[in-house]
Amino acid sequence: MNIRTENICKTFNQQQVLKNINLEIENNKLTCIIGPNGAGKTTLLRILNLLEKPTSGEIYFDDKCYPTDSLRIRREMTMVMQNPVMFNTSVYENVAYGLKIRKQKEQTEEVKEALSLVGLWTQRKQSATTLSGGEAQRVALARALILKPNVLFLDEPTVNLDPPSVKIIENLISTLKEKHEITIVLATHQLEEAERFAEKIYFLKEGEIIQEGEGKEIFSRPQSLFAAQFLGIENIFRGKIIKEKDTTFLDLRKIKIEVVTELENEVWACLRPEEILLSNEPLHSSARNSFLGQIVKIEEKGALVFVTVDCGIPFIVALTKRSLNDLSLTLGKTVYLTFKATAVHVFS
Amino acid sequence: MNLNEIIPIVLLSFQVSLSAVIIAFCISFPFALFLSLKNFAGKRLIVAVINSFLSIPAVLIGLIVYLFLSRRGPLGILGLLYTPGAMIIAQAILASPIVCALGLSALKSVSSSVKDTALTLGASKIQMYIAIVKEAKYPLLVSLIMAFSRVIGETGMTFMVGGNIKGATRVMTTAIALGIAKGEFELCISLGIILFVVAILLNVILQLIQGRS
Repeated sequence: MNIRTENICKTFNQQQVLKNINLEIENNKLTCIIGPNGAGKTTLLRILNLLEKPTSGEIYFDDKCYPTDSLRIRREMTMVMQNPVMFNTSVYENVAYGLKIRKQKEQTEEVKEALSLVGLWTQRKQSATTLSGGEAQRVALARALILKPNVLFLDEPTVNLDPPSVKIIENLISTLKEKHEITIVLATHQLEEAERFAEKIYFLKEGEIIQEGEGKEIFSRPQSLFAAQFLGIENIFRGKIIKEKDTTFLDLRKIKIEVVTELENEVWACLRPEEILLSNEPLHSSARNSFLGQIVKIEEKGALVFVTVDCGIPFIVALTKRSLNDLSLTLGKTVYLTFKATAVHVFS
Repeated sequence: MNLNEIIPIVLLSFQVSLSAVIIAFCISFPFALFLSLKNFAGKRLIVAVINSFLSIPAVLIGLIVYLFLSRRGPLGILGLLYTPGAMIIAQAILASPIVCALGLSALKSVSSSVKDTALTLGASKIQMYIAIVKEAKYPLLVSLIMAFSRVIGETGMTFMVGGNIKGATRVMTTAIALGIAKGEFELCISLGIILFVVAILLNVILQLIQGRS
């Protein structure tokens, strides 16, 4: 099922939580809604799930508009909340609930299948209110999947969970996504999750969509300083565009870097740390930007090493531990730093 | 000890107080459910009024019910004064704010979260209400027991509208209160023991329920 909204607005106590939301959720794709806490992600999901009425605007399911109390359309979709509520019965009864209210008599096989997916079949007799946060979240997912919904809304499904539960849930999302049999809308402020799963991303800030795009694209092409900072892009510069003959430069005062852009005057630019190459000798390549600089900081983060190179202004470069060792990079060493003009993303 | 005298008194006590609690529940519970689910202007005021009704002296309720039901009162034509009906009405009025206030706090703690969970799992409106009541069933039961123990122990008000008529409106509390004056110590002590046992039993049930929820 695809979902399209037209100018959705939502006001709570005179405070506008959502402003003119126009989005299109494609059938059997995974759409991510990212944004900081309080951006309106949960409210948007609740409106799409028909749990909440928008103050104004329309929602179309497969291009048809339904009243918000339509049971038929509500039964096509389900949501797993950030802090799922367990009914005060057994795990089994919780998972069977959706089938029971649909008057399905026999549920054992389906419950077994759903609970096995999240690895909790052995705990089926346990009281659901005594589960840990991670287990409750997994039961909530099983309780949703047993309904074989057309659309699954996931509201921050892995926030504050223990690592094994996060892994189970993420694997499940990834399996669901690969099957392409279900439309998933995932609200998250965890960027790794969005980057890993999303086929389409909407970036929500203070109730407005400030950027939308294909999965990876949004991470290399932020359209505002806020987005760039939120997306954790390390190298953000402010400078002035100058044009010399056929070439466009971004003047950062101490150095000039070659860029490709139609914009003029004062602009922002960003450069992902993975896009920069380090070498001990000057590189002969098609890359238009090359600078000599001194290593001022080396920081390990997981599998990657972030090296800060001072070329008049600091650049943060990401490389693997192996590359660090192969190049025998140490603090204070001078290195060449190379990147393409097209790797620099310029925005106003 | 005359069992023939005691048994009708005990039975009538239970009959009147149970009826009163059931009526109070039928009136207050839908109201509490509505209050727990809807947000509207003036809701806090209504809740404050309900809570203040909790502290209205029973004797005042007795007076009001008396005035309404007395022969010259607006409902005098019904001829209810000094009947079990009058006692049930007065006790139901006394029980209603208890059921409503305690029921509201029981429902409030579950209603919005259970509502969303039930709805997103495909519940119809009625199925959603059932889910909420199921989740709040123990605290709701607690509110009923609290109301019952309040009204079964009520004396002055029950006497004002019931009249303690032997074989007609004599209940345990009024029998004790007036029996003492008449020197019927044996009857009073027996009824006292029964009231005491009822109170203990209700408390044990309360503890058991609270342990489960």
